[in-house]
Amino acid sequence: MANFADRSVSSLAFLRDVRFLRSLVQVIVLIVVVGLAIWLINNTSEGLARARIPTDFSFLTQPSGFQIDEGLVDQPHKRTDSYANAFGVALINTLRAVILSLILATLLGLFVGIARLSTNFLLRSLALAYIEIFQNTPLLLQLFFIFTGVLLTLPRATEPIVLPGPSYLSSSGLATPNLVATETTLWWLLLTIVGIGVGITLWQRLRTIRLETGRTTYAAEIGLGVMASVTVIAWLVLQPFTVDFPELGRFGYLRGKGAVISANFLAIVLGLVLYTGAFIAEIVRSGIQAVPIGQWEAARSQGFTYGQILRLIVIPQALRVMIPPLTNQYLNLAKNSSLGAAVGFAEVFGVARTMAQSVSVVPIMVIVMGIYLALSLITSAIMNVLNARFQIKTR
Amino acid sequence: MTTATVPSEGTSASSVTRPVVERGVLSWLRKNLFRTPFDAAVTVILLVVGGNLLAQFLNWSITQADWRVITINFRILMQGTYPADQGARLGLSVALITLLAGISWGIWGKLYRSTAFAFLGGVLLFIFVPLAVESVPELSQDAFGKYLGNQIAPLLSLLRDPVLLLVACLLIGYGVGRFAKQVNRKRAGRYTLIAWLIAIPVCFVLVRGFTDAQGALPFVQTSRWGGLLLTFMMAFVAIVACFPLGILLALGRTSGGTHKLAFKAPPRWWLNPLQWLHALSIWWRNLGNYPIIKLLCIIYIEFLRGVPLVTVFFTANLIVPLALGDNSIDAVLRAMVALTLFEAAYIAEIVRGGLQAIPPGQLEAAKALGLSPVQATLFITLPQALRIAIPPLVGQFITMFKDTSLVAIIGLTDLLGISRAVLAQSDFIGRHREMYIFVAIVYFVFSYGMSYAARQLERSGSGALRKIG
Repeated sequence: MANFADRSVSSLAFLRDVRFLRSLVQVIVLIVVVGLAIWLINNTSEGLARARIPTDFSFLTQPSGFQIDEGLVDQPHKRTDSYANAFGVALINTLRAVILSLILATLLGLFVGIARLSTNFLLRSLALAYIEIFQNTPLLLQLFFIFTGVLLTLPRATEPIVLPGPSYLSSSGLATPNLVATETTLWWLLLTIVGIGVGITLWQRLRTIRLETGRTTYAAEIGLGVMASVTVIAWLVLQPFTVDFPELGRFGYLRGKGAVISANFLAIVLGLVLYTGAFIAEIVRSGIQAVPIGQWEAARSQGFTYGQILRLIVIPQALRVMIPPLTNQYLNLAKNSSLGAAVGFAEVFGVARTMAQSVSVVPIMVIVMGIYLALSLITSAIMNVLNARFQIKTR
Repeated sequence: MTTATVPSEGTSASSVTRPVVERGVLSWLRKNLFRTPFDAAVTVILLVVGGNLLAQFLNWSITQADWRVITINFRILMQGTYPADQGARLGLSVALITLLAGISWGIWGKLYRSTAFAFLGGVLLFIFVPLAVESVPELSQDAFGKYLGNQIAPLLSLLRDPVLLLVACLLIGYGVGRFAKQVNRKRAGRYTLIAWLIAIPVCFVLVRGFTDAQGALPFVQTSRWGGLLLTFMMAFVAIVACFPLGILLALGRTSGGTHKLAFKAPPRWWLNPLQWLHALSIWWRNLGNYPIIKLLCIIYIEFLRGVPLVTVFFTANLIVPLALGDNSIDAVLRAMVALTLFEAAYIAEIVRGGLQAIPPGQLEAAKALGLSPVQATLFITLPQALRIAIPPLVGQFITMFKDTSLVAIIGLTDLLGISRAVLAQSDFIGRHREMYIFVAIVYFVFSYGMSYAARQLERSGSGALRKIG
């Protein structure tokens, strides 16, 4: 009997082995997940086959049959261009909106975040009111309000509001003077780049001299002066651009005259900037407040001015705290740009929705999700590099 | 008075005089608005610009705006096409939830004087302005009187009953909560939590009804839910359903070992395929005790966090009926499933943050006491992690509440969607601003209320947080 009991223990010992149990759990989970996935994919493909919806990507080379007016050039996508071209144009539009909004939202957030800590009661309260209003209402609602409630109620393009420039603002968008490149543009650009390079080198050299010897070397002044003077003199000598002014025709803005920023683009950029700016302002405020008050006092006792304290002492330290949440906001901004579809802006999701009316939705959504995933990954990779750059270096 | 400030011996009285504390309106103004010339300039500019904008807005709101678009469509904005004779069920659900909110507030929060005044002001506004305007007919001669009489008074009297009901439930609940807290704080907290867990499904059933019921609670299809009702239902269902899923995902993602292997990279290791394999194996072993589960969780979380919610809604809307082989699943349910799956990824990351903030000693101590890994997670680490994660969780719930508005893009009639549908009618063309301002106020009230509650919870400190679990 004892022998039997021993054997039973040894033959069942693997049940008490934690490695076996862990593997078992994982295998069961894997089987369940894979089984579920297979079942779902099977069902989907059967359903698609029943509904005769193709799932291949061969449509990409076919003509799309719709046109996109929004883009860097006039009519970037024509009816006869391929679906792949439409995706490219839409991606450029998304990037345009995202990059512009990202820069403007950061500036706005920085400004409002500092204003939120101002000693001026009025400025402080207005900043708080702005933050609370835009944080506590949905972005989609703000977009609808900006687009249909504000931009579309502007006068028609035939009798627009005239702004200095002359620029025209109407319900069809903003028409501004445009710079047109000439044959000397390239030379000017080259000269400017050389000038900036020389300026930066001078700046750094002089700064090193100052740091080593303590002499006043006017590093920033000389560096910036070189950059500015090279750029301006080259501009005056070469005349690299001609200015193209917008003109009014009988039906609104004339095609190909000036730069026309569409109302849809204005709406999505305004919406993203105001919404994200409110969140960035709170990040900036908490970042600044995270810097110990002793830093302010020490800087003040050394004779720094308010602006200098912010610029040289506080913000560099606050950036360390701010970058991770800022990354989240930038990611949100990139993803929220998909709401441009709601105000008729031809970005990736909007164009995909148009396509889904004529071709199969499965490959389209695969491409769209892939694009947004890539965008998110690139943004977080860039921000990770920045984050590593700004952290305190320890051993 | 005599003993207030007695200078110590040897110092002259003048050297220890207290700094003069200035009081009064003028001093406040100088300190807060005109501290420096720059400050003064900022104040003046803001006053001029802001005052001008405010005046323009008031002028528009009185002379041009037509707020009747809200008065006429009020029921549809709140309930959608929910059967009118079943409206009491909605009232009951709202009363239940508000009462619970009031009780929770009484137990964990505090009624500040400013909030009480805001309530009082609201109640007075909603009761007395309509009465006053109705009872003074000569007021309605000039433009402002007409505006009050024709537009504001009907809107306010329409809002009166719901607002009074809400405030009354909230205050009664507050009183009950205060009382329960004094009797037995711990038990009150626990019962309230359980009540919340029960109340939300109860409300869901109350609103939805039973499929085969003939008498008390006839079935109401989800396609007839609309307006604020749909917004709330989506938010509630998503919050309740995504929470357990998010916790599971977070546990899956943190199910690693405590000992990490370092990959010691030789110079230019990326040129050597053997080193790639080595790096891969280190990475795989660093995934911990449950590498497959962890990998699955990471893929799920990072995929859903990388794509916009609208694309998830859009895909779910078209693919879920195909994937489940069942066309009877309606659009509302599809959207709820999509929202739940999407938000679970965000909840998981928040809970993971909480789990990572727990010192490893907690788990080690639990192991030393002989708790199994499951017990240690359930009773030691997870409760503490959730406690830490409460502020960001509430923030995410607010986001979720706002995110429900995106279903308007896939054609559902939540508050925002139905307001667009109303605006598309020819009677209300060009009334976008009025409608959107009203919708914004509704969203603002609820999400500001949630963030206010979260701030109170945070301000009451870790001691108060400890009493929740």
